[in-house]
Amino acid sequence: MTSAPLRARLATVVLLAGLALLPPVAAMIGDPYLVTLANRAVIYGLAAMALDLIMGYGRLVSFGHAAFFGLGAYTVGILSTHVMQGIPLAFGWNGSNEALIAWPLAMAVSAAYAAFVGVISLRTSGVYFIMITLAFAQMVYYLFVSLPAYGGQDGLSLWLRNTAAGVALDDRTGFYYLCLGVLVAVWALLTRMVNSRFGRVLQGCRENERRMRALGFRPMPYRLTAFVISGALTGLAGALVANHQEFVSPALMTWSQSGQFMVIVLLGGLASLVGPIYGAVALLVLEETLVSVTQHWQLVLGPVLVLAVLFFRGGLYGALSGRGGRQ
Amino acid sequence: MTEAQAAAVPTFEARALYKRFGGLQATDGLSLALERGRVHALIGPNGAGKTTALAQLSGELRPDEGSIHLDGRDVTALDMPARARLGIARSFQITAVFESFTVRENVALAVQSRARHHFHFFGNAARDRRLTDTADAALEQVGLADAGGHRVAALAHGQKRQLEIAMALATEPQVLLLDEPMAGMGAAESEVVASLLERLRARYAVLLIEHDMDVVFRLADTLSVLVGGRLIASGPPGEVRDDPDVQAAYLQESF
Repeated sequence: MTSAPLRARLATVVLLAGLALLPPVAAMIGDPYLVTLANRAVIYGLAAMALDLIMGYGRLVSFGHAAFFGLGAYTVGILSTHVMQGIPLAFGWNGSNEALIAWPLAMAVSAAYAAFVGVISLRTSGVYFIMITLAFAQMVYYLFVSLPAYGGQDGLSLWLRNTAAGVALDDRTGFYYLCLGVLVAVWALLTRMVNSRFGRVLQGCRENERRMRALGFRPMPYRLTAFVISGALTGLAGALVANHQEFVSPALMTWSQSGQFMVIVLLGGLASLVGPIYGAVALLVLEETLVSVTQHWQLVLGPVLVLAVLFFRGGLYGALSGRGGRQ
Repeated sequence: MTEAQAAAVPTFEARALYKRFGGLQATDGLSLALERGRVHALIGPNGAGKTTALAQLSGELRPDEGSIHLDGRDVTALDMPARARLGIARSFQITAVFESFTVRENVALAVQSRARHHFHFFGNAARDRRLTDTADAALEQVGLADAGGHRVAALAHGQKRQLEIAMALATEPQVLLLDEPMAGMGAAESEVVASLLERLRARYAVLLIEHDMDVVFRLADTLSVLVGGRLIASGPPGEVRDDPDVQAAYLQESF
């Protein structure tokens, strides 16, 4: 809870500056695919940062965050499909392509689902919590696999990206900067939150629940609030990924997607918020490098991740800020 | 109401508590009364049920039978957080502080429990003077004024026990339930805590579970001896010490 050392702050400034300067650099070296790749890292970093709020600061290891991601993405996809097909969604409303409507709705849907899952799963802890969140996410996954109206197993293509206040988001660079802006804004918001009174209580419950109860705190409302905020922000990341890929499918909700978010958090640094940005970039760089070297890249990536998590206990960010031994 | 009658209404009272775990009668008709300004010491051999009794008083365990009253109000049905908010604070036998927090942050969280405004999402708690000033005052009381900015991990064992007490005090309790506050302390550290309790006693109703007989006889106004979940003696420390049952059951080793 103390401020990060200078070295770590500098590294973060360099990382964010690098992300901000990437589009002109990519244009200069004539490789626009880099922007698409980096955009993926930014969106996955956002989802993992949302996961870090509960996993790092609440020790609530959710193995079902892909469901929030997928629900956010499907909200955008379904609203867009109704606009294109002209079929009313509900109450004679044909859906919307407007981000200012679709994205808050994506967050609301994910938040509502998080409230439902949270009320049940937060009564458990440890392995049981992991398994219950996984079970709920699998239910949502199979629900969308079995919805032929929305593409079932094949998913849905977005005919158009959303518009933001009427402005199309088709420009690759513009959309990238929008995502980066959202990421930085969410980072600022969550940083304030974990240092607030609310954040203190959440972390106190992580450290010693019994002591918190003896001080007069009941952990449930705080944990549930954090869980819902985390779910809503992951839903926002889902809305972004739908626009980024212009395609949504149940693959966004698989358990391996949930696992990937956890890996990004652990690789980047648990309970650091900014760590997941490092983690997402590192994972992407690793993947792309290994893919270019061998077609059996996943065989190499797996052990590398296991070793990284084992030996960098505080993740990349922890190694930078010299608190590698945390927890 | 005469003064004698007023003094007869205890701040905190347990009436005929029973608690059974399977075949073990852990608490067997236990009655206790705590009064403001007085220290009630509870002693007994290992396994006598002292910590089980304290768990029922603090609300962590529900007694099978019997009732618990704070200022005449029945609080038996309230859980630990609810009782804590009414002013029943406890410390733990095994040090239970928030290890990744600083000393001041630990106490500030205890202060915050009184404030009841926890859903503040944006104000920086470290710069909230309503929290930090009160926390510093509590740290000063227990003699940790200089350690506020330290990480808990950097504290000596005895200092962590002092921090435990500071956290209990910061909740502004009426009743202090202290479970072996000197456990694992050296003589010098033990003296710090004993003189701290001596200074604090006037303001609280204190239940002290303690093994160190010198401390017990120095602080206690009332001494109760628990054996097999049942009180075999209770009264002024001098009388209890001379009670033949007590000597037979427990104290013979200590005297």
